[in-house]
Amino acid sequence: MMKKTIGITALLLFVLVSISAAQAERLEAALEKNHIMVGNPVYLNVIFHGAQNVARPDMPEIEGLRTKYVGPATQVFVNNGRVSQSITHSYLVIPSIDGEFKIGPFFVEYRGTTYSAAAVILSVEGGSSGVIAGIGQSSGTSQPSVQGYPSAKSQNTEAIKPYTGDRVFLVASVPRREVYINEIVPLTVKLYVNNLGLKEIEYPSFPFEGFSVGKWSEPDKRQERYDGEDYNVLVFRRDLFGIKEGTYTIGPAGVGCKVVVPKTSGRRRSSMFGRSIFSDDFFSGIFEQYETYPVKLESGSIEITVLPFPKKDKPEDFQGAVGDYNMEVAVEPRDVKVGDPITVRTVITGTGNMDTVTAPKVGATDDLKTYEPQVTKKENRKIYEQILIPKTKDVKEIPALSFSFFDPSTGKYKTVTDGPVDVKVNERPESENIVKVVSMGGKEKMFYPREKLGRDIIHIKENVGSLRPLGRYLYREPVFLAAQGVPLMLFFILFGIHRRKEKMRTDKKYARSLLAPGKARGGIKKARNYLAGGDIARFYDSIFKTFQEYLGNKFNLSIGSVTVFAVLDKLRPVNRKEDMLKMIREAFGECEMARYASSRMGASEARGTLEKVRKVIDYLEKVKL
Amino acid sequence: MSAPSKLKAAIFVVMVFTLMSVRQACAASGAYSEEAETLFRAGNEYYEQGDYARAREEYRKILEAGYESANIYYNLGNAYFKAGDAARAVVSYERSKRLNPGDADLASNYKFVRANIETPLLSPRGIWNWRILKQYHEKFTVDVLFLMSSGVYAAAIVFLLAGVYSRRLTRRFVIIAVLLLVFAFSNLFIAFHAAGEIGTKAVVMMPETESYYGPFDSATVFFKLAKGIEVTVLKRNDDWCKIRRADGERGWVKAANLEII
Repeated sequence: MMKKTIGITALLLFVLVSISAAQAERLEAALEKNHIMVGNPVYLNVIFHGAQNVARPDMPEIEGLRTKYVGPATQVFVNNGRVSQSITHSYLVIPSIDGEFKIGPFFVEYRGTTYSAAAVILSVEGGSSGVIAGIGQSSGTSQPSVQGYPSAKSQNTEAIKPYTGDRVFLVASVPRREVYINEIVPLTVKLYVNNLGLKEIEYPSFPFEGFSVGKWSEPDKRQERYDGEDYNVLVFRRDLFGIKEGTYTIGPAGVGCKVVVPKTSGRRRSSMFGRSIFSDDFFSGIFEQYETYPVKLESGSIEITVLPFPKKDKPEDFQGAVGDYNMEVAVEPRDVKVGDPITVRTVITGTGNMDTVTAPKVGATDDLKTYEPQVTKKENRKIYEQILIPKTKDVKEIPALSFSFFDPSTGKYKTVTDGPVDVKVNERPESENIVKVVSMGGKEKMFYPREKLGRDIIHIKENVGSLRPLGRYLYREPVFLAAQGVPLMLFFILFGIHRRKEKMRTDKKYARSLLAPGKARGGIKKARNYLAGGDIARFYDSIFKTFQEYLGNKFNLSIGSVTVFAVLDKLRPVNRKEDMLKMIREAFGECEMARYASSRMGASEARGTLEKVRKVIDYLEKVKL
Repeated sequence: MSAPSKLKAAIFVVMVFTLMSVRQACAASGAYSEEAETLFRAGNEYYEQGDYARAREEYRKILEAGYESANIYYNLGNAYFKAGDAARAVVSYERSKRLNPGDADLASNYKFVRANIETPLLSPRGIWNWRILKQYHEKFTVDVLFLMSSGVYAAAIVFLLAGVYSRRLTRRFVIIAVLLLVFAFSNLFIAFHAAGEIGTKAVVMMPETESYYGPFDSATVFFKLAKGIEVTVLKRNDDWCKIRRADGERGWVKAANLEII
C-alpha cells in the first residue's frame, strides 16, 4: 500500500515537471481564411501556447472591418509524455468594404513578460456571396424586369457596384412550346444574381390558366455563366400539364425578395470592445450596417400550345394517360379456396404524368366478386392492389389486364398487356365455413355462414284483422276534432278559477264585496226565523248585525265604523237615488230604535224593516259601486 | 275542490274525450265482422287452391261492403302478385301499409314485389324524402300521427295548468309544456302531410305510359313511366291527371293508366 502511494505521488510529480518543462510560451495569430468577400465573416484566432490564464489581446480598430470577440477556448495536449496547454481567443471579423487589411500585431502579458504575435493580412474582395439565391436556365423569354428597387443614384456603395439592371433578374422557361394534353412540362424559374445580396426570397408566383400544376420543388443553388457574366443562380422547378387543348400564355413568373445594400452613412465605427457579449446581437449588428429594399422580380411570359390527343388508333380503354410506361401484373395467392381473397397487384412504372394513370382492374363476374383497387403512388410508379373473391371453384384464371397510354415522344398510342394468370380455386370444406373469432377478452364467438335462402312472397294472413269503415280517418271525425277543443277549454276554465281564487286571496276588498251578499242572505234567513218565532228583540239584533256586516263588506269598512253617515257618504257619489238613501236611513233608524226600545216595535214594523233591508241589499247588488 | 284534484279531473276529462274519439273513429261495425271473416276465409281457401281470381273476388266483397283492413289488402296484394299483376299488388300493399305500416310480412312482400318490377332509378326530391322524415312519417298510420299530436297537445295543456297552479315549479312546467306543444304541432304538420297523400298517390298500371306536356293526345311526350312506378297526382282534369314523379318531373297522364292508392 505504501509502495503504491509513493508510485502515484512520483507520477504526479513527473507530470508537473513535464508541464513546466513544456512551457515554451509564445503568441500566434491566424485567420481562418485570408481571402474573403465583402460581408463574409471570418474567424481570427489569437493563440497563446504554454498557459491558459492569459487575458485576451486588445484588438485594433480598423476602418472597414468590424470585429467581435467570440470567447476563449483552452486546450491541453499530452504527446509522448509531454504535456502542453494553450488558450485561444477568437474574434469574428466582418469586412464591410473591399481591400487589403493588416490586422495586428497583437500583444499579451504573462507573468510580467510581454509576448507578441505578428499582424495578419486579410484580403477582401467586393460583392457578397451570402444570402444570394442563384438561378439559371436557358430559353427564349421576354426581357426580365425588376420592380421596386431603388435607383442607383440613391445608393452610396463603396464596395458594391451600383445596380445597373442586370445584376438580378428572373428567367422562366419550358423545354417545349407544343405539348399534348396531360403531357408533363417541366417549368424552370431561375433567379440570377450578380454581386448583390438578397434575402427573404419567396417562392415564385406563376399564373397558369389552362394548366394543372404540381408543387415547387426545393430550390437549388448553382453558379452559371449568362451573357458573359458569372451569376449565382437559384433554380425553382415545378411540373405543369395542359388540361385542355388550345394556345395559352403562362407567366410571367414573379419573385418577391429583399435586396441588401450597405448603409450610405452612419456606419458604426466604434469598437465592439467594452460592450457586453450578451447585450449585443452580432447578426443584428451586421444588418444594422445594411439596408434592405423589397423588390418584385418578373420574368417574361411563355406561350404554349396544348395539342389534343390524335383520334387515329385510339385504343378503347385509353383513359388519358400520357407518358411511357411498363406494366407488371402479379397475382397472389394462386391456389385458394372459394371465398378466399386473391390480390392482383399491378405495378405501372415509367415516365410521364403519373396523375393521369388510372387503374386497370378486373371486372366482376358471376363467379368473381371484385373490390375497387387500392392505389399507392411513388415517384414514377403506381401500384394498384385489387382484391378478388372467387365465389365458385369454376374460376380458373384471372383475366389479362391491359393499360393504354399516349406516348408524346412518338406521338402514338401504346397498349401494354399482362396475363391472364392461372389460378386454382378449391371447394371450401363445410367445416371451414364456420368462423371462430376470439375477442381480446378471450371470449369465443362463432360466425356461421349465411344460408342461401329462397325468395318469394310471404303467405296470406289467416284472419281479417281489425276492420274499419272504408276511408274513415280520425282527422275527419267531428267528435275527434271537437275533442281537441276540450283541453283548451278546460285550461281557460281552470285558469279563470285560479285567477279568481288568487284575487280573493290577495285583494281583501274584492273578497269582502264578493262574499257580502252570501253572508247577508244567511243573516236575513236567520232574522226571518226569529221574526216567525215572535222574538222581535233577537230579530232586530240579527237584522242589524246582518245589515251592518253587509254594508261593511260592500264598502270595505270595519264593522265598528259602519254608521248611516259613513254609508251615505260612500253611496252618494255613485248613487243619487233619494228613496234608496231614505230607505237606508230608515232601516238604520228602526234598528237603532229597536235596540234601545224594543217594546215599541211590533211584528209589522219588524217585517217592514226586514223588507227595507232586503231591498237595500238587492239594490246595492245591482248597482255598480 | 283543491288544485291537485282539479288537475286530476282535467286529465280525466281529456283522456275520456280522446278515447271516445278514437273509439268513434276506429270501431267497425260489430255486426259485419262475422260476415267479413267468412268472406275472408273463403278468399283464403281459393287462394290456397291457386284460384287467385276468385280469391280476389271474395276479398273485394268486404271492401265493397264498405269495410277495410290491412290484412284484406295484404291478401289481395298476394293474390294479384301470384296472378302475375305486380303493379296491382303494389297498390294493394301500399293500401295495407297505410293501415298497418309496421307489418314485417308486408314489408318483405312489398320489397320482393318491387324488386320484380323494373323501374328506372329516380333520385327523389323534396324534404319529405329526407331519410329521417320519411322513415318517421311512414312508420305510423295517419290516425296514430293525429292521435300522437292530440295526446301530446293535451299533455302540454296539463303541464301548462300545472305551471299555473304550481308556485315553485312554474317555469319548469311551462318549458315542458312549450316543448310538448312544439312537438305536437310538428307532428301535426307531418300528420297533415300523410293525410294529404291519401287519394293522391297512384301507381302506373300500363307499361310505357306516356306523360305529356298537356292534357291532350297531341301534346308532346315529356317522359315515359314504367308499369308499377309510383306517382303523385297533383290535379285532375276530366280523363287526365297531372302527376309528379319521385324526382320532381311533372306531366299529364291518362287517368285510366293510373290506380289511386
